[in-house]
Amino acid sequence: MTAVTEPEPALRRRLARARPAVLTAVVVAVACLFAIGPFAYLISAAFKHSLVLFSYPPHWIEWPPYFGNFRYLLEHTAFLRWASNSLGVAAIVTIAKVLMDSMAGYAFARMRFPGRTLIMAVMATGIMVPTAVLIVPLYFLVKSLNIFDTYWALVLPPLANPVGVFIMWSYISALPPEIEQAARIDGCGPFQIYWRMVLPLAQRGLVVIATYTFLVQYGSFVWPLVGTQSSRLFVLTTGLSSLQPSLGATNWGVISAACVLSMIPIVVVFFGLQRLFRAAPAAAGLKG
Amino acid sequence: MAAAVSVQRADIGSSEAPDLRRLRVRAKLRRHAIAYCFLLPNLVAFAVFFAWPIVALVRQSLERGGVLGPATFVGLSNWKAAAHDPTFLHSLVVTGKYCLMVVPPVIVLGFGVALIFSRSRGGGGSIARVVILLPVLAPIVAAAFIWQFVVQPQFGLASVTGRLVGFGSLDPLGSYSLALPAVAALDIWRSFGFWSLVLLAALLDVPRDLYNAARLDGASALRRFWHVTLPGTRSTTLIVVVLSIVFTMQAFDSVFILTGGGPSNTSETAVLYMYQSMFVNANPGYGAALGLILVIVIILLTGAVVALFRRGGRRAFGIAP
Repeated sequence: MTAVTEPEPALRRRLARARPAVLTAVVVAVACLFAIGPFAYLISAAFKHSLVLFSYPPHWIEWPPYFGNFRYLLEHTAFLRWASNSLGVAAIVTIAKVLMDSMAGYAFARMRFPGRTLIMAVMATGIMVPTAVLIVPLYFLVKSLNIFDTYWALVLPPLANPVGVFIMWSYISALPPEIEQAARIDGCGPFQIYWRMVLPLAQRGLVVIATYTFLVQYGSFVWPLVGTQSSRLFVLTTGLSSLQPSLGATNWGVISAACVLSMIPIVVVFFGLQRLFRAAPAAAGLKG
Repeated sequence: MAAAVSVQRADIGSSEAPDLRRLRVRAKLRRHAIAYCFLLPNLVAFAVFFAWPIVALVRQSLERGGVLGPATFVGLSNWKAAAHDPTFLHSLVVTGKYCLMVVPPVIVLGFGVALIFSRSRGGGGSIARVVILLPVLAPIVAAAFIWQFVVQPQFGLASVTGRLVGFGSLDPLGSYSLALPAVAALDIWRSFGFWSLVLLAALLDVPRDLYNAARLDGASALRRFWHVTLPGTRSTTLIVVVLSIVFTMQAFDSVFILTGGGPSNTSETAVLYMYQSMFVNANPGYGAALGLILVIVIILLTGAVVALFRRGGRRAFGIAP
């Protein structure tokens, strides 16, 4: 059955092979357009004066670009302070959570102890509690701990988020247990096994948790809004929302510039972590 | 001879058994202690900043007042009132509708994109990956503002495009029927990339030999998906489905910032109503009861999804390794 003797089936086969490729390209193109469209428009708005933004027919691209929005943001607001607060808090929470969650995930995945099922069930239930529900009791708790309106109030409560434990539990459960058994026979204690075996092998899980925690933390809004008060503790989200006045006209140009700038650090951090993710060994590649 | 041996054994047993048993018990206790050492940091954080606030919330739900005067114990009356509150029941319906608008598109888009990425090698694929993940990265406040640039009536992308093609300007957030879908679109936009990333991680861990074996057996792409991809990523898929339902049921930030529940409650989700009872109506006890009822609803729903998944899974993946 070669192409020379039967050209038609060969052509049909080639078409059949091409169809998924075309479909793939169409799906990816639509998804990309959906994802990038709002950003493209946002960026074009950031380089326009607000008056131009409201004009019709629309000026899609303003040339020469107008930098007044960015200048206003850097000169008349504490944007850089908000950004460094956001980055600092998110970094600390992320490092703490990666360690805490991988430890707990290891205990749940590999150890049997009384109370294990109960603790897991309670923590799993914890995932289902909306953060907004906890805001009021957390507010009173933070007040009574005397850490209201401090950096502690921003850093400590997010450490209770149980999602990462379960991500880590699923990653560590998927690791082949033989490697740990071998290490145990070689005389490694549980902490050595965790540090030397589990952490390196579960790197992908660690990167996923770090990414998740950083993203959630960088974007968290309601808790920083309630848990802090003074403007020196503003993070990007609370700072951004302070740009929209409760009365009077919103300066959409400045807001678009702030949105553009607030994307830069998170994009850098995120794709840095992605690099790590791709460099990490896949768990399934271990058998050999 | 045989009797002598058995006597000897019994002797050894009786003299050493307590020691051995004590050693075994001590080793077991040590193992448990080590396990709790690994758990300790998480347990402390969880107990202080999660479990304790929940306990406080339960107590609060049994009280009335507490904003201006001292709180008084009122038993279950807040809970009973919630069950007959038409606004609360309406907000639950809105939350359900919202879930139906968000979760299926997110799962389908997320899985589809992850599948494509797991096969593409470099080139345009890596650019597409970056592009699709961008919305995930936007902090919620920024995302909500960005979405304003899509749905705002005067300069929003939707409205401007509508005017250019002759529809006239659109104001989705001011419309009874379009407000909720417009917010749902924001949540789809900003979450499908994250779930596709999680699913991609699982897809990359499915051993390639399984695909090759299936291909050698003459399995079509659809069958390979059904019998290799799905079973291989089953636990992750379950987690993604459950978590995306749970997170969507908790929808608050996006609605709060975009519509505030309007117009006339058409986009008021349950969490938003709870927030309003607590802060706007200054009735923290009632708000606490609403929040706890919502948590119970979410737990029941999650249990149902997991059970469904298990049953369906056993049927579909029964032969899988």
